[in-house]
Amino acid sequence: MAKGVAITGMGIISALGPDVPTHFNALKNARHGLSYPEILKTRHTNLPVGEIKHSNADLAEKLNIPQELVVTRAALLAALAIKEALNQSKIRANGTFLVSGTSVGGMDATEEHFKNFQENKELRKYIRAQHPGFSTEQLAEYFGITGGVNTISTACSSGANAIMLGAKLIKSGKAKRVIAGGTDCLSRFTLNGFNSLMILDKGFCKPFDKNRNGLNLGEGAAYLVLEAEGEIGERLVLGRLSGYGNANDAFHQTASSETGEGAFLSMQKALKTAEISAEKIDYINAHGTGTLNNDLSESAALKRIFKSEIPDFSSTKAYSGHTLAAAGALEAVFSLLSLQEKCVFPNLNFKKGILEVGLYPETGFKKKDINFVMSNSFGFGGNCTSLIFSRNGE
Amino acid sequence: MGNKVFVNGISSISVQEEFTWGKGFLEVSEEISRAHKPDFKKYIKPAALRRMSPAIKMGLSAGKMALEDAKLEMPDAIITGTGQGCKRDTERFLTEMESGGEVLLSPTSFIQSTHNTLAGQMALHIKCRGYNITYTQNSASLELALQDALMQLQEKSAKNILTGGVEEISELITGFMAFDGQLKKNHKTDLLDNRDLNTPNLVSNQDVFSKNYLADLPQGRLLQSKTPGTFFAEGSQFFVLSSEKNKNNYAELKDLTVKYRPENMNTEIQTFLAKNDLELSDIDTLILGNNGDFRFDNHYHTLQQGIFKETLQLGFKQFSGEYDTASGFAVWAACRILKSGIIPSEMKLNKKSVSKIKNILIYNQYLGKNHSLILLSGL
Repeated sequence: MAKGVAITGMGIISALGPDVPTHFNALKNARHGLSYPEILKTRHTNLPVGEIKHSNADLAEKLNIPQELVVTRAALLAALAIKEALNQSKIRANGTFLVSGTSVGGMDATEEHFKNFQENKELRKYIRAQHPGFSTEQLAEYFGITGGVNTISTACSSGANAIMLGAKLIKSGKAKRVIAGGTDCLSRFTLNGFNSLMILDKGFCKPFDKNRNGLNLGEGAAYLVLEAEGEIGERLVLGRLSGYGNANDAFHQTASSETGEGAFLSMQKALKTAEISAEKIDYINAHGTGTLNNDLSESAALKRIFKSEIPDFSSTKAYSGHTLAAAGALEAVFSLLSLQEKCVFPNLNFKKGILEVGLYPETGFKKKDINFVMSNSFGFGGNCTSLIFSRNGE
Repeated sequence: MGNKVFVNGISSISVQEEFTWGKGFLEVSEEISRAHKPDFKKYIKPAALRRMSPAIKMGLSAGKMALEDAKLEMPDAIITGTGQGCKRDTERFLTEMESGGEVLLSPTSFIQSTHNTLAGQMALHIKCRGYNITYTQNSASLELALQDALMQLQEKSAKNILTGGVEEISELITGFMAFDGQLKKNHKTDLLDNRDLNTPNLVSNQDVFSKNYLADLPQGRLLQSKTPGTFFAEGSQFFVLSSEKNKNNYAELKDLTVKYRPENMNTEIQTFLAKNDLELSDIDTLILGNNGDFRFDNHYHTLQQGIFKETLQLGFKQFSGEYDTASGFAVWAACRILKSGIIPSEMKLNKKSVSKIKNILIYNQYLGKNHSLILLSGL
């Protein structure tokens, strides 16, 4: 069994709340954070979203960021999550690496201002802000990060890939401390994009349910602090990232294959790097978006990996909405909470199983011994990533 | 350090024709230049080609050209870098959404707008189910892709990796760069004067695209410019990196590093070289990313007149134009130089010469933010 890379801090923000404790309470009490768009100015006010009910100005104020600085919503959310993670781990920002996953980047600012770039000089500061790397650079400057700045964009697996890269940088000796995670805010671009694909549920999403009818979008950010052994000292280790696997489904630009080949390969590789067999997994935080295609494909892959002994699994997408590039990072925090609190989180809105697969997610809050948690994140472009978290002692 | 890493296959789609190596590059002479496109039908089926943006066409073709060059069918991983991603499809969806009031939108351009579209399409086209990732750190995107590949090959977790970068020109988003000082103003006046640097460019997108500023620029002028901004272009360079060298092999990719706003580049370079058991004098050829933006070219000038004063210096952005993954053009040129032993004279920024080219160092930065060093060696 591989020892895994130590995690000494975590931070999170989503529609469920502004920090780790509020997320745990929401998950434990099966309380979702979905609502309808109020902050996001869109005509689609009938579509449920996991929206954080704070304006950008509110968020900037919490961070003491002056109004004139160009910090877009995804960066503001990320800054709040990173702050919580740093408070917990108490590392020095100096020499630390930052690896961030984002797909939306500063698109929210672009969609609001692009028509006025020509007339309004004041708005031109948002031109570069569209590109994903910009938000990561803003974060690095805000926190005084000097080790390295890196942005990953693999759609809905970005956050998970960022955490994987963080571990690889530490294992290879290139970095001693890495802040890794993901952030995405709601934007009209993505809401309309998913709407045009006709994969948004007009009700609350029902992952793994026979009558599931699409996903709900959300926004949020989550980051972990990963550290090399020599750096930890007396500080508390929350858990370890012991396995990771990245593969491509190579089937279709947006749809997943029926056999879940990419998902199967990413889970298989994660088990291999963790050096454990499949039956060691105690809980799977599934990708489980609630779309017809994903849940069927993921179920097929789960059955191929775990055969008839499927561990307890649930999707937490119905709590936060699908936060795209941040999803893998949010769910990494949920996985660490599952290890710490020895529990499985309930899958909301599940009534009937998908007949042809016969898989039933856990629907109640369940206490049990947990040593290994697997977290799945799959995205457009066939990008599949699985992470395995373990208890520090394991 | 681990295993050695070799460049076994290369390709380049750029403003220059690929096979003009050694026949003389032409300088970019327009604010915005499109790439010289190869015959895409050789690499992509016509039906698929119709829906593809330039980024995907260029990236897929360049990727397949690099595989062909290395005589490799299936890499273990696909790692791409793109700073600005699929701009054409992004702005198509954006403008349709705006003009249509968020209704009746076609998903096609949304689907193709994500930064990982190229890596996904590449996987799909060659049926590669291995490791697949996309880096998007502005001007360091390609470097971070190369760094990941290097790490995996050194650790022997892969044998052959297809890695490269792509950037496309798009009407709106590229045009925006005229408004925030990234793009030079009309060079006919711009290269001659040195006005208020903060004056915004009042040329509209339409103007940028309708005027034809063709070629009245004498060679070498871009890099001597005393005004802000640069000339933009598009392109895609791909590389097959391998833990074992093949017959076609160009060079060894020794190491690379990316620093965000480093305090002192001299120190960074010396630390980087020391890590690779090299001294300054071991670097016989230096390739620099000067782009004629006088606000930031001093990063290069400091080295040119300082620690690398006695070293042969080459420029490349006067031939590739600026784009976030333009360092790919420099890596491609370095590979060609190391394999052929020929240095195109038009690339030279000083009059030094070298008898035998062994170690090439590439230094690139954009707007003073991400600074990268790439070290390649001949065999």
